[in-house]
Amino acid sequence: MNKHTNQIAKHNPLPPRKKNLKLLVSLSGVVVGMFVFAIWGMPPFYNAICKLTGLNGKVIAPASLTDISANRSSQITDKQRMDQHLINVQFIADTEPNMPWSFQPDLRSVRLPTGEQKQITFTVHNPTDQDMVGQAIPSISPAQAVAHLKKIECFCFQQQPLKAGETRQLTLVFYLDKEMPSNIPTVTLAYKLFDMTKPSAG
Amino acid sequence: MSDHHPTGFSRWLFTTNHKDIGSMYLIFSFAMFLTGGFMAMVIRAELMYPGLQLIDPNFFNQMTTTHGLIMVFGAVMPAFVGLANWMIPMMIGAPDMALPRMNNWSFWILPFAFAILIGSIVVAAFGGGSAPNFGWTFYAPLSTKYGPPSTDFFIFSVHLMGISSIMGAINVIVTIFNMRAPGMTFMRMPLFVWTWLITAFLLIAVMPVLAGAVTMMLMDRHFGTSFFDAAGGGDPVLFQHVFWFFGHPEVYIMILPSFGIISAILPTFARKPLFGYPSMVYATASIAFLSFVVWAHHMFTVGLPLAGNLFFMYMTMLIAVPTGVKVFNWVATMWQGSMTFEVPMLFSIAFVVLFTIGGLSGLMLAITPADQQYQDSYFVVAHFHYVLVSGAIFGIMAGVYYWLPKWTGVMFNETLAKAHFWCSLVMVNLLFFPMHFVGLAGMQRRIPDYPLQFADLNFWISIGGFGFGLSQLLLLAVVWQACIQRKGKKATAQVWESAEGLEWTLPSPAPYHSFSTPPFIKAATH
Repeated sequence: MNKHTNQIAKHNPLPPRKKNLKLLVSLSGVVVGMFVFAIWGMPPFYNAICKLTGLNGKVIAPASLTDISANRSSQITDKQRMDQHLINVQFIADTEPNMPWSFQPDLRSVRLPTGEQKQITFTVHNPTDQDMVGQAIPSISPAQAVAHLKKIECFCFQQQPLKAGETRQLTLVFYLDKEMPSNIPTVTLAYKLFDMTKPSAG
Repeated sequence: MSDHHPTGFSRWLFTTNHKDIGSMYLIFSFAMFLTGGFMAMVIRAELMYPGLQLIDPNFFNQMTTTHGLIMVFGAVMPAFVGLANWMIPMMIGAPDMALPRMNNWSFWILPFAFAILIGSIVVAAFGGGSAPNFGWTFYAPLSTKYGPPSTDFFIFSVHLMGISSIMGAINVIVTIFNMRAPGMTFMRMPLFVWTWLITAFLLIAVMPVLAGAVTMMLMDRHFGTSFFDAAGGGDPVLFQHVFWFFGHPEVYIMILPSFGIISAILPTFARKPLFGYPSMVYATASIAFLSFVVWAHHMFTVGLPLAGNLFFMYMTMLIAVPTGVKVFNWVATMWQGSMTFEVPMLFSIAFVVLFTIGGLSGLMLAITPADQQYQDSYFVVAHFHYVLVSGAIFGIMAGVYYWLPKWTGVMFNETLAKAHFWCSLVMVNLLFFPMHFVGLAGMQRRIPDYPLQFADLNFWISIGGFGFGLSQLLLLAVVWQACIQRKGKKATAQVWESAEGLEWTLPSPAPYHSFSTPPFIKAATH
């Protein structure tokens, strides 16, 4: 019996209660860490991966200037014209449920050869009696087209302030680059408009 | 110490005794098993004939959703925690769990969590709105933008279940780390203790992720965030990544303790030590590790890049290696053993065979191009019911029959128990085996109606469903006789002829307080 008690004493250098609490605290740390990872770690990491790979219609940064000028200045040869193909580009505009503005594209769709620039306008109207600010969020589908749709100018790059009752044309300039896979006949560019008006003080 | 027994209602409410809490977990789990089973029978009644007969499609969806949630979080997980509470202290020579007050709390959260969840289905059944109807995987935006108001109750209920599981898991880890009797080294621990230790680590790693997922849902629903809303720059696919990062380790949480139970039972009735004990430990740890890098095999069709699909396909197939090690070790344990076929052994052998069938259909689903065909079909339903019902639940039943005489002190009614086994075995196969065929033929899961060509098989599947459900009343009868009526001949301390391990050195029934003085372990008993 005595020998056993010694063994136990040797086995547990700390008093058991303290030892248990120590382990309890560190395991709770793991729990809190995983919770933080799930909410503050996974979404930004996922977005970074999607931006990197162009998955799920996440927007790629606007095409670089050299890219655009190269496209503009190059003489289009017959060979290149042969490489071009027509793509049907559709435009969808929609507002978030609590956004009172009306918002629609002036053209529903356009057939566009790859490599050719196109300007499209959207009409937006603020029917309320208040000055408001809107922000459009784009989404492109199918995902394979994301890397090949290059925006040179887009109203979605900035917030759009509209006075009470104001109507305005918003401009989008874009092209589809020549590496656009030929098995995609239709690309859809959808915008959703959000209310970004800061609530006035008081 | 005298065998002091508090009595009455407050005994159960305030108890910190691991055996009392283990019993409450097991009773709760059985009640949830019958509740979830009743919902499954409603589903099978609707699917018995093509067309809509009994319930409307929205209520059907509520049934599939709550059936899944109740079985996963209410039946399987609490049953394992109950077995852990009862057996782990007795197996490692500890007087109780390390954190008894927290143990009490982690149990008593559960009835409230499920009262909230089941409350919304009861209200829905009496015409008061809709209970959660988006499937147990609660994918966004079905559960965010289109979720019924009761989704918020569901979120709160999942939070509570998560807190309960996390506290239970922490308790298991602290107990195993700090409370082992002298001489009980890690590599001398029974495999049930090992598998539970690894399961507990999985739980504390992924239950917070589940809590994170439902918290993000809550914020999307009410606080203007757009984690899962594409219109606000979020992404519904992100929900699937977060959910399955929890979900895949979760399915191993539901099977690893069963591996431990089977590894305890087979050596007893084959009268041979477990074959390859160290490889069993390493295989369990490998499965747990791999479970964190395979989640996207639930998402092969969401449009991952090819490299991603290939990575997750190969990683998934890699899991077959440690799992194969375990299955072969079990077979080798039985090989040339002097086997007898008592009820726990019958369930264990059925487990080995049927779990392997479920594992093989899992391998078929792991093949990305094949999965594009199988996904969302009854083939998937057949797969996960083979691993969960004839895997996890048969493992639990084997464990209950194995340790029941130790808990009650009387031998249970073996005739009735054998009837329970054979009815369950026949009916579970009648229920789930034809699902492979209707699935491959194109029958979708989660629909209340189906094309006429699936009618005959679905009729028999439903017969199997009712048969399996009703067979469980035999288990209720066996447990009732043994626990309440105490009918049966007195069990010896060892109960089974060649059972080995510390729990069998205690008298049957196990005294209320055991191992107040730790035993000293000189050699491994496995």
